[in-house]
Formats: sequence, structure tokens, C-alpha cells
Amino acid sequence: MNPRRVMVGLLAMILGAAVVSVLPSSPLAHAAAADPAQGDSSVTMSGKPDGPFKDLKVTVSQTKNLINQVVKVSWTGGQPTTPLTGFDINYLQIMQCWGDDPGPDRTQCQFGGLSHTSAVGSIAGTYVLSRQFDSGLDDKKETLKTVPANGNVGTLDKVPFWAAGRDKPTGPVARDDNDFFDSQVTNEIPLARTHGDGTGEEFFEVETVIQAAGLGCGEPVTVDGAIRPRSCWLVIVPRGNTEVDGTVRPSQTTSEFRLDSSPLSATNWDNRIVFKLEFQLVGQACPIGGAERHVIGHELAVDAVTSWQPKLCADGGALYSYNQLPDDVTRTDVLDGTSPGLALVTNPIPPEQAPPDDPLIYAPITLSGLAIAFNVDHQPPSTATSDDLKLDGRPFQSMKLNPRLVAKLLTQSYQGALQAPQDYLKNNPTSLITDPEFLKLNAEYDPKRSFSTLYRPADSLVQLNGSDVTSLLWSWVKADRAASDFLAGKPDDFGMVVNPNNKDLVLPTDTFPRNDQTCGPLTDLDPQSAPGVKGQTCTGDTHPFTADMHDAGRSASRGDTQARTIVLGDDKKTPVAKKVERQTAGRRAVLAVVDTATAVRYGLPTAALLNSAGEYVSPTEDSLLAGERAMKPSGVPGVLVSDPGAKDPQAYPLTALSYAVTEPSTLDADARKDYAAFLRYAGGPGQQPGAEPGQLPPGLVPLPDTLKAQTLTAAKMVATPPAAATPSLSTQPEASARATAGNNTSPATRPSPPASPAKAAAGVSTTSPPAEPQPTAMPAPTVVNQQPVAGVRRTPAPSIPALGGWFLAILIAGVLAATSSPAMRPLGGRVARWLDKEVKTTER
Amino acid sequence: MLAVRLPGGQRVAALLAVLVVIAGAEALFAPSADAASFVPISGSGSTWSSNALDQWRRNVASLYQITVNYAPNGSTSGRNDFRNNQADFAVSEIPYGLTDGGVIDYPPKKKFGYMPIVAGGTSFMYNLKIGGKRVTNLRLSGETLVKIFTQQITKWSDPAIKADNPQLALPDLDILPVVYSNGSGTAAQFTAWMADQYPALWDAYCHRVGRDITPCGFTSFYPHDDRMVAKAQSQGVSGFVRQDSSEGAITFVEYSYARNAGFPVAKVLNKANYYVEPTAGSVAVALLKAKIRDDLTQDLTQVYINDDPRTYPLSSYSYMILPKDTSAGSNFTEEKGRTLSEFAAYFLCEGQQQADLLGYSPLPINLVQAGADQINEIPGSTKKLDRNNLAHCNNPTVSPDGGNKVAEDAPQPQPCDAKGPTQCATGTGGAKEPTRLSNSAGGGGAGGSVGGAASSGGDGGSSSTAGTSSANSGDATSAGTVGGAADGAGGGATSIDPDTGQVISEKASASDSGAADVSAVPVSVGVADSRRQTALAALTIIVALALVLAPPLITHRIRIRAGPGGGHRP
Repeated sequence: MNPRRVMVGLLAMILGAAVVSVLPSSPLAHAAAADPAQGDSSVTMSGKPDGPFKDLKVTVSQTKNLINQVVKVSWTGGQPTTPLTGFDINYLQIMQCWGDDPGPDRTQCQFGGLSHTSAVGSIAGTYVLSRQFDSGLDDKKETLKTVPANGNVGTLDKVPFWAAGRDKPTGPVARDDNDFFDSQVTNEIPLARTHGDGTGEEFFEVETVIQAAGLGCGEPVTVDGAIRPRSCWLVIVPRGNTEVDGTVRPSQTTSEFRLDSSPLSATNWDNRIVFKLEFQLVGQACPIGGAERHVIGHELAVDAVTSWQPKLCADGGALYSYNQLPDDVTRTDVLDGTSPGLALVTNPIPPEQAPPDDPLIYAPITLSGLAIAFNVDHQPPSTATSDDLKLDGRPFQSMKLNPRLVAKLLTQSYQGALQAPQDYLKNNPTSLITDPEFLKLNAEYDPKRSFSTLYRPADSLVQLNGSDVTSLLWSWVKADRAASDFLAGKPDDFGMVVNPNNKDLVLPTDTFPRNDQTCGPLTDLDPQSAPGVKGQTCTGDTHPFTADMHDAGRSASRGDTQARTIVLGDDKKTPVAKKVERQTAGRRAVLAVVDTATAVRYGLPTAALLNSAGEYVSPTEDSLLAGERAMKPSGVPGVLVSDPGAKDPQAYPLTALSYAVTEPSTLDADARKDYAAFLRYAGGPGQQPGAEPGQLPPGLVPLPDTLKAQTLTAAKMVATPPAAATPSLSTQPEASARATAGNNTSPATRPSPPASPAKAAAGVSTTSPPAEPQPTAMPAPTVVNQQPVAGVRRTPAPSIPALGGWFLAILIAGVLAATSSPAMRPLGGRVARWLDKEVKTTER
Repeated sequence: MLAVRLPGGQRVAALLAVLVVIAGAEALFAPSADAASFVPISGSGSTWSSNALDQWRRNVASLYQITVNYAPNGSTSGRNDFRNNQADFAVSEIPYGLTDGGVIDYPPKKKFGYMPIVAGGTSFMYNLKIGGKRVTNLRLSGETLVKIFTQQITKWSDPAIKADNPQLALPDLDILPVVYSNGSGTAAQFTAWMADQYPALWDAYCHRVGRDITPCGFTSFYPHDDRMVAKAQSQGVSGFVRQDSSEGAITFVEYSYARNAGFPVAKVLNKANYYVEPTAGSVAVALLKAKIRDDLTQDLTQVYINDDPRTYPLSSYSYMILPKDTSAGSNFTEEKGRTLSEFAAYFLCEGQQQADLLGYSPLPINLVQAGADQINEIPGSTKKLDRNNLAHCNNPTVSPDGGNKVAEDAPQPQPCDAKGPTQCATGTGGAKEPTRLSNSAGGGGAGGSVGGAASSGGDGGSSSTAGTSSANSGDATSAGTVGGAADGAGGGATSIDPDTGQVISEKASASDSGAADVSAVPVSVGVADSRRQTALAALTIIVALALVLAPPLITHRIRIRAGPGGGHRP
């Protein structure tokens, strides 16, 4: 199985009611991201040999060397969950626990955080999401006793939670949630489905002490006198069709038809299957409270910088903050002096706008790409073949898209992309999966085989703000004849036309046009109860922009289109926006335009895109490296830009680099030192792939050696005072720019990549550590001497540390001057004498 | 003199210490290596401030391993979630307990407090072109703004807008006001300003759209009719306005949204008769007049009428509503309090350094002091900040004289920003490219916008209201708008009292205009630039002072005390 193509993640939250954005804080590695060097640490276990689940075999894909990541839990030999629309009987309950050998006590498990959600009583029984051991059934094995109501505390009928490092609780408690976890924090999967063939799989987010303080996994503990990371447990409580009192629940009859008791009830807990989880030591955070060194720039580099930040501060390094801004805004900030000193962008500042007298230094930081990610489940109609029906609820793993299909998706040209049907689209398909052009490439999406229901992908989640990688996407679309003809109004072979509101776009643009704002009536407006009230739900409400690509990726992974409908507010007069429920697991159909790191972070498969050589290529390590080799000079020395027209059949067409840009002459010594350290890290250890703090996160590809060398050279130039650096730079002008004019590889200067099979760009560690930069391959430093522009004057950035340097220097100079200059003394003496007098007065 | 204001004691040492504090707080910073882990916390609320909050959250997550989740669903939603224990904290532009549309927004039963988190300007992002070129230098007076958002001015060619923009040949295009469809703190800020400054216009509008409450007051739920567009949240309104098909649209969002969208914002006329953009400096200046109540909520009435020429009138703070008890049902715990207190201490100090970069204005130190008290009342607080010793708080507003450095350094408006016959060409917000000015300075004759078919044929859309009339400058009347005829007379320097309907003559405007430097199209200098220059100028003065005073003082000291004063840096 291709590890990129598995659904991850926040599936644990499928029942979570809250819509809170979780930070892209910690690297979520890919399910199969086990470092090959560590060997295979997957473990398979069965239920108790004498118990009801002896045929159930559960495999956890990785159990050692864990960080905050996702592991795959798969099983065979189970009884199918019924019904298809809910969880009456026969399912698994998965949770993480802490505790010593031989395994956790039930008080040590993070479970019950989702007990307040709407699933309870609708798709599953009363206490199955709760820690409540007393379900009103006679559980002979139960040792805890319910304590009746006491004051305002409520009935004490729940298994208490014992947090790592705290005192063990003494008796039952009243609440499911507690000081340490709630619905936002917990990673439990309370309801895991077994398919008709007895198999099932879930992706479980393993949490360290940083995500789950109550479990303490990975934190340093003393074991036999040595400091070790605390190990934890993954616990699976399989549930059959029998309740704790021995009664059989038949599913789908009128009363007492399904399981009601908690997995922590003694009888259920007895059936548990326990996997030991061994963690890496969790890294230390940076000391909070220090002054930060600011870096600004685009989203493309966020995952890498986020990973590097905690490593960079180690051993007294600077605390680097990163503020995400659109590429365009970042360039403006660099130009007008607002940039703090180091800024990350994809496209360089056009030479004619760059400062005339100050050379800008560019250094490549990350290599990745833009992807069309998707979260689309098989939803076969009842008339489908049995083979297709078996796939019910499974996510699709692959998709092919050509530029015209992407153009259709991003121009509101499918009928379903609008809130209400419009005549000008009446001959267009409703969505991607009814477009014959799409089905020719992707037969498995045929509605007759795969789609019975409501959710159909008619457009994609896209970010609100501008981005250079969005420009790249449009350049790729524009470079394709069929796509540009379509955008200019020419129908495709099946008569589909571009939405006239988005026709004749000026391309490339760095944003996603949504010029069609078609509205429809309010759905719930009752003219009786709200006379005279008017309101509409519009396309912008049901097809909104996302805040950024991470927001899009996370939403897609959760089946959240971010749609809102307009309903009447509490006053029954004012129309207000109300969020639409997320699509349920197994019934999802969401696409998102995201960078490859984001796609991997949220476990989204990505589409293979048609490149100019006529090949459909997915973003993998090899295809992104090929895309990088196919890049062409930008016109700014030392900066390459992607070439969507490149003829390399292996090249992924939307490959992009992130460049750091800085203007050392505006920086003081401290800033130069810090930014040079940042660049050294980015061109060195920061390119080591992996999901640990400090490494290059999955979804990003290590820079080729030549680019790393360029960054290390830039670091040297930043470290050196500009006065000394400038002359040496201008002697080496365009040496690093790609010699060939863009397409294909340049064999003379670049080693050809090993002919390994296509490997996932993300999630798989590279096979060998990057070689040291070859001196011969050393690119020239990249300094850009650019033409003056009338009237643009800039002054150095007075960062606080910069002022510090100034003041100290001046003070020192002042002291020297004062001691050497007799003229200064009388004044100084007078003021000081006056001050002395003042002091005496006040002290008196 | 700097030294005079210093407290007694070792004057020279104090002077030096101050300079060192300004110079680099890191010198005095002692890291506290608290390795214990933090329980994640979750908040809900404002989109106005979420562009800042999101960056802080990501930085504390990666640097300090503090997980803060946040749902930017709007201030109203945030207050509801906090009240219902669905969120550990809320972020809101307005406090609990206010009456909105006749409904009281009851505070939660648990103990809580307000803490300002960042300042900013509610700005007016617009999509307007002249001859296919984007306008980036639009100016609007308060009254014009109110009339736009109350449907009394419906065309960009309206004489009132022309009066604000004497050098723009404004098109005869419908104005499309874009408002919020959710309960929004941004709407609350904007309507509070309208209700305070233009009550007659605002009340009349409320009546017209069926909100029969007098005074109408502020509201989080902007009352709109079908000639406006309503979108969910800041992203929704700014995403709508930025579309090419939305030419003619204008909305209100925190400045950062316009900046990130690459769109301009209107410069708004202040009481000193300057049109000002909501930069970090102009917001900081305006908020010097904010009255902070005992519970730390803001009274902005003096901000609206701040007569400092650098003022942006619609400046305000955003608030965190934080819990002060862990009672049953509150879902808040001391562990969460520990996390929240560390996060709050971070963004009150170091986080404010990022405010300007992100399109906000940093909180002044007096509010950081007040915030420190609030943080210390959070159950489980680590009490990192002490209001009396904020030396290690790397807040950019700290000024040696106790003032707000950002405000002190804010540049004066350019002469061409004065009300009068000229206007600046420089761009605003995220659109820095200048706009070509038409030569017809002084409002003679150009334009001539004939109103054309009654606008949008809506029901009752053009009924006259409450004794106010539009049109205060020279030329054509625009048909289809509100009843009052243009007064035909006068130069561009009259305005109308919103309460009385009387014409008020202006004094200041003409005087400055002579100095306006609208020589062709000025090359973009950028607001940040002039700010930078001012900062540098101030810096130079301080440095010069230091050069003159410090060395002789030190010399003197050293001589008197034979050097044991010890510890001086050089």
C-alpha cells in the first residue's frame, strides 16, 4: 500500500462536536512513516484465546520510536458492524493509556472525552462513549460501586481518570471529562467499524505528553536509575453483541437492541487487547519569555520552520518566530523595510523593484509543491456490484486530473459549485464525478459504481489570500492548450463551458476567482412566523474560502466544507449564518488545493497531474526532484522558478521552492548572526527528513546538494558584514542560475537521481543521508545588484536588538569622547552636580 | 530632560539602565526553564483579531510546546461558547451585559475577567476602479461612511464622496455595502461608532430596516436590506469584496484582512480634518484617548473625536475573556489556567512585537500592566508578569517616559491628507501602488454624474429620512439617492451636523492645502517608510542626548566616586 494514500487522522474526532481549529503544531507523521533504520515495529495480537474475540487479529503498524504521529490500526476476523448507518453491535473501541507493565489500569486511559457528543443515543448506545461503569445492567465483575447523589456533585458512577505523575484517585467520579482531557484533546476512537468481510482499519493519532499531559507519554522518567521516555499503551476494547449482564443485543429491533455499556465496565475491559507503545524522548521546549528573532513569509515553508523552531533555540540559539503572510505582502514588506530581516517567498522581487544599492541575498529553504488533495469515499448505490459494495465507505486512493479539469473545478463551472442552478451552466455536469472527461480518466468514480448520495465534489476548498504557488497552478493551466481554450469560452468535447462569470481571467493570478455569487432562497424561512424578512443563502456562504492551505487541508480531512447556510437568528428577524454539519465518515467528498506538506500532515491523498510531457505524475520525492531539475532561471540570479511547460516526463508540474530573502546591509551584527544561523540550519540539518522536531517534515523533499550549498554560502555572506561581503559577491554574478533555459535536466552539473521506484514525497524517510555539498558543485552566491528606482529610499530596520547595538556602540564612543574631550567635562560636571543636588533633596 | 523624570537614587545608573532597557531587553532577561508540560486549551470568538492570535498560537506551539486551539467563529459565538463552557476562553470586541437589538447579552454565572490582547483599526476595504485601474487612495469622511452603510449614498459618484476625493474622477457605479451575516465584533465596533457619532442617521436607518429601537445603539448583527450583501465572518466579507465581479463593493474588516488580500482601505477623516489610514501608529495615537474602565473594557467615545491629526478614529482593542474560577461545570481547571497564563504573558509582551507586521497595533504598557493583574487571577496562573517589574516584557510600546513609543513615533499625516482640494496619490492597506490623480483639484466641474435610473428599484429604497441630507460639495446632484438637494454653493469645506442638519463651516481645511505636494504621481514611499524615518529621527535625538549627557555624567561620576559605581556597561 502506498503510504501516502491512506486516510489519517483526525478521524478520532469523527464524533467530536466542537469545531475548533487544531494547530498544525506538531508534526503528524504518516501512518507508515517508520524509519527503516528502526526496523518494523508493527505488532499483531489477538483477543484472549478463551474469549469471544479469539479470532480477532489486530495489527498496530508501529509501536516503537513513536512521536506525535498517526499509526494504523487494522484488523481481521471481526464480526461486521451493524447497521451501516450506526454502531449497534460488533465494533472496536480504541484508546491510549499510560501505566507500567504489564499494562494499564482502566483509570489510566484517555477515554470519555467525546461522551457529550450527539452520537450518543443516535448512532450508538447510551454509555458506550462514557466512563460510566454503571449502565444499570448487572455486571458481575464490576468492582466499583456507584455513590449516590451528594450535594451538587451528582452521582459518582464513572471510572476516575488517574493522570500520570499524580495521585491515584480513590473512588468514582461524576464527570467524564477532567483536568487533563476533553473532547478537544482526546485521541480516542470510540466507534471503529468492522466491514462486511471482517476487516477494518483506523488511523490513530498517538499523543505525547505535549498533546496529552495526563498520559505523559515520552516524557523523561527515571527507570532503574536511568532517564527514559515514558512508554504508554494502545488499548483496544472489542465489542460483540453481548452486554455485560450476558444479554444478547440483536441490533435494529425496537428496544434494547444495541450495546449500551462503557468499554471501561469491568466485563468489557476484561476483553481488552493491549499494545505497548514506546516513545522517543520528547524534546525540550524553548525557554519562554525571551526576545524573539522574527521571520516572515509564505505558508509553503510553515511546516519546515515550525519543525526547526524548537531545535534552533537549543544550546542558546535564537528564538525564531514565524509570521505567515501572503508572498506578495512579504515582498512588499521587504521592499518598504517592514520586513524584520529574513523573509520567505517563492518568486523573487522583480529586479526593477529591488533596492538599487543594496544587494538582496536569496537562499533556497525548502522544496515541495502544490497539490490537489482529496477526501472522497466510495459510496456505492445499492445497485452496484458486490465488489463495489465491499468498498462502501472506503476512501478513494487515486485520482488523475488534467489542466482543463482543474480549470473546471476552480472556475465554478460545475453546476454544484453554485448555490442555485443557473441557465448558463445547464448543459454542464453537476460535479466532477458526472463529467465524462473526468470519468474517462477515473472510471472507478463512476456514480453507478461509487456514488449514491448527496455529496459530490463540484469544486475545491481554496484559500482566500494570494500565493505564489497559486500563480504556479494557473500558469500550468494556462500553458495547456485545452485548458486555456476552455477558459476562453470554448466548450470541451462534451459541451461543457466555463462559467461565464469567470471567463477570460487574466492569468496567472495568485488567487482563486469566485466571481459567481449566485444566491438562492433561505431554506428555513417561514413567511408566517417572519413576515417581511428576506434573506438568501449565497454561493460564498456554501462555498467559502478557507483561511489558508492548512485550514483547507484540515477541513478536507474532516469532511468539513466550511459551508454555512443562512437561517433566521434568535430574534426571528435577522438572517444569520449557521455552519453546515460535517460530512460523516464514509460519506465524504471534499477536495482541497494545498501544499504537499499540508496534504501529508492531514493524511490526504493527492491527484496525479498531467505534465507537459503528457504524463500523469503524483507529487513524490522523485517527481518533485525532477520538477526542481526542470526549473528555469527567474531573471533574478540565484533564483529558480518552476516551469510548468517542462518536458521531463517524471517532473511534477507544480513543484515549488521556498527562498529566504534578506538584505544584510540593513541588519545589525546580532541579526546577521541569527539569520545566518537560521540559513545554516536550513541548508544543513534542517534538510534531514523525518517527523522529529528539527527535521524536514514529511511532504517536503530534501533540497538537492547544489541548493543546500547555495544556502550555506548565503549564510556565510549574511554572517559577514556587508561592507566586506558586497565586493566579493558582485564578482560572481549569474553563476548559479540554471544554464539551460528551462526544460529537462542539465546533466553536466547535476548528478542524475538514482533510478528508484517512485517514492512518496512524504512520509518515507529518504534512504541515505544527504551527501556533503561538493565543492565543485558549489553555486555562486546569489546577490542581486539591481537597477535604481527613482525615489525609493529605505533605511535600516531598527529592530530592538539593532537599537541595542547602536546604543552600546554610541555609548562607548561617547564615553571615549567624554574622557578625551575636555570641552565636554564642564557641562557634564554641571549636570551631574545638579543631579547630585537633586538626589540629596529627594533623599532627605 | 530624560534624567529629570527619573526617580531618586543612582541617577547615572538609572539613566544607563533605561537606555539598556530600550536597547535590548535580552540583557536583563533571565530565562525560566520550566520544563513541565502544558495541557491544551481551547478558545472561541473574534475574527477581527484572529490574524494575530493564529500567529501567536503557532509560535507558542512550535517554540514553547503550548497548544492553544481557537475557533474563529465570531465574537458573539465566542461569548456564547464561553458562557456555555464550550470554550476555555473567548475573544471578543465587546463585553457581556450590553443590550443588542433590545436583547441583553447576559454574562456567564462563573467569575471571569476582560483582558485586552491587541489593538487595531476597523478599516474599510473597497473594490473600486477608474478606467480599469484600481483606486488605492480613497478618502471618506465619517458621515459619508455612515451614509454608505445606511443606504443614503448609493453611488460612487455621489457628491459627498467627490468632496472627500477632489482628485478622483469617481465612476457612476452602484456602491455595494458588504456586511456580516454572523454575530460579529467588527460590526459591533463599527455600529458603536455610528451610534455614538451619527445617532440620527443610524437610528433612521434602523427604523427603515425594521429595528424599531431608539436609540438603535450598537449591534453585532448588522441590520441589512436586500441592497446589501451579507457574508459570514471577516473571511467571507473580504473574500467577496476582492472578486473582480464585486467592483463597487466596500466592507469593514480589521486592517490585516485588507492588507493580506492586497486591497486598499479608505482613509477616514478625523477631527483634525485629516484623512488617515489605520496603521499601527495611527491606531496607537487614537487609543491614547481610550478610557479604560475598571473592568478593563474600553470607552472609545474620546477616541472617535481625538483631535490629534494622526488619529485613526475607528481604533479599538480586542479582548480575551478569561475564566477566574474552576467551579463545577466550568470545565476550566488549574492545569488549563497554567497554560492560559503562560500564553497570555507571551502575547502581552513578546507577541506584541509581531502586531505591526501582522496589520495590528501593539498594546501600550499600561494595558500590559492591567493585563498582568488579570493573568495573575487566573486559577493556576504561573504569575509570570508583575505589573511593577515589566523590564523583561519585550513590548514595543515601552517608552522611557512611560508613554506609548509607537504613538510617539507615529508620523504626522502628509499635507495632501488634509481635507481640501488635493489628495495624496499613495496607496493604502495591501495595495501600495499609487493612484493617478485627476487634475481637477478643487472639485470644479468634472464628474457630472447624472444619477440615472432610480437605483435598484427596491421598495422604499429612496425614501427620505430624518432631516439629514447628503451632498455637500460643488457639482451635480445624484438622483436616486436621499431626498435632500445639493446645496450647490460652497467649496469643498462644508459639512452637516448629523443631529441638527445644520451646515457647519470648516476652519482648518483650506489652510494646509497650499502645501500639498501632488507633483504628478509620487513614487510610492509607503507609510512604513515615513514611520521608519520618524522613528529614526526620534532615535537620533535620543542618541544625541545620550552622547551629550551620558559620557560626561559618567565621567563625572567616576571621578567623584572613584569608580566604584560599578556595573556600568561600557
